[in-house]
Amino acid sequence: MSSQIHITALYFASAKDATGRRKESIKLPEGTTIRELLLKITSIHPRITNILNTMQISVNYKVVVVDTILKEADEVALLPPVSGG
Amino acid sequence: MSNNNNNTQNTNKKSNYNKNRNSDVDGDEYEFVDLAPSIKRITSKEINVKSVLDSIDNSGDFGATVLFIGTVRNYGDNGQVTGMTYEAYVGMAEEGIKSIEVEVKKKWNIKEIRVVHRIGDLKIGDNSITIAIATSHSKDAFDASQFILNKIKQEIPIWKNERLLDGNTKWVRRKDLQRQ
Repeated sequence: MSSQIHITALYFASAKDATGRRKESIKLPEGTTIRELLLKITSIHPRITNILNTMQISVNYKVVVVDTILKEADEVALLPPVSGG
Repeated sequence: MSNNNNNTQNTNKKSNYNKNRNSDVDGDEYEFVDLAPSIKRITSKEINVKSVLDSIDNSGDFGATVLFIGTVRNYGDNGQVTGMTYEAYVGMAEEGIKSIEVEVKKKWNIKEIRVVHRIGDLKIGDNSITIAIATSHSKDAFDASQFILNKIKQEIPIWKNERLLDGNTKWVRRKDLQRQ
């Protein structure tokens, strides 16, 4: 059995509305990519599927590509298009 | 980063990790509010414009200060607005604004920069953002102020949710921002 990692997923704005939560911990196999995490998130929260392609993904405050491999204790945020100011 | 206020919770990534999960999904709720005193660019408190200006110590080496104040307007593309709720990924927003300040200082001859963005529930007319720039000459101050505002609108993880007259709420989309 492969090792497991735990990451924290954060949901903001419309992502928060779609998931009904701001934050959750998700257990994943070691070596999981952002792409695979997003598949898991859509399986948990199907309502987010339609808006997922509008979002950027950050890991520990840095915007990343979907091939990025996750590490233990990473903080992953789903970021809808921003609208500050 | 430690949290000095028991009534708030820190969004710093390490302090929020819970490594003792029994299931693969656990939805802890937490609020994005003021964090440690060292974090000051994002605030849930009313922006005190005078304090922002007073914090710029003019020792005589700059000749222009531009102050931009963004306020909540009573209308938008979705109709009449009764208020606005701002949400932020506080830690990342802080880091992002700091990076913008560094970038601006490389582009213009900047003496001082103060950027404060408010989050939470705001009323019509409330100040949502204040940008103060002090430079030797006025053009740099105007240009840098506009540059910072545009970068914040385009890049910083802050979102606004309009409260509409009919009682509905709506997240403001990027294309809605083009004229704002």
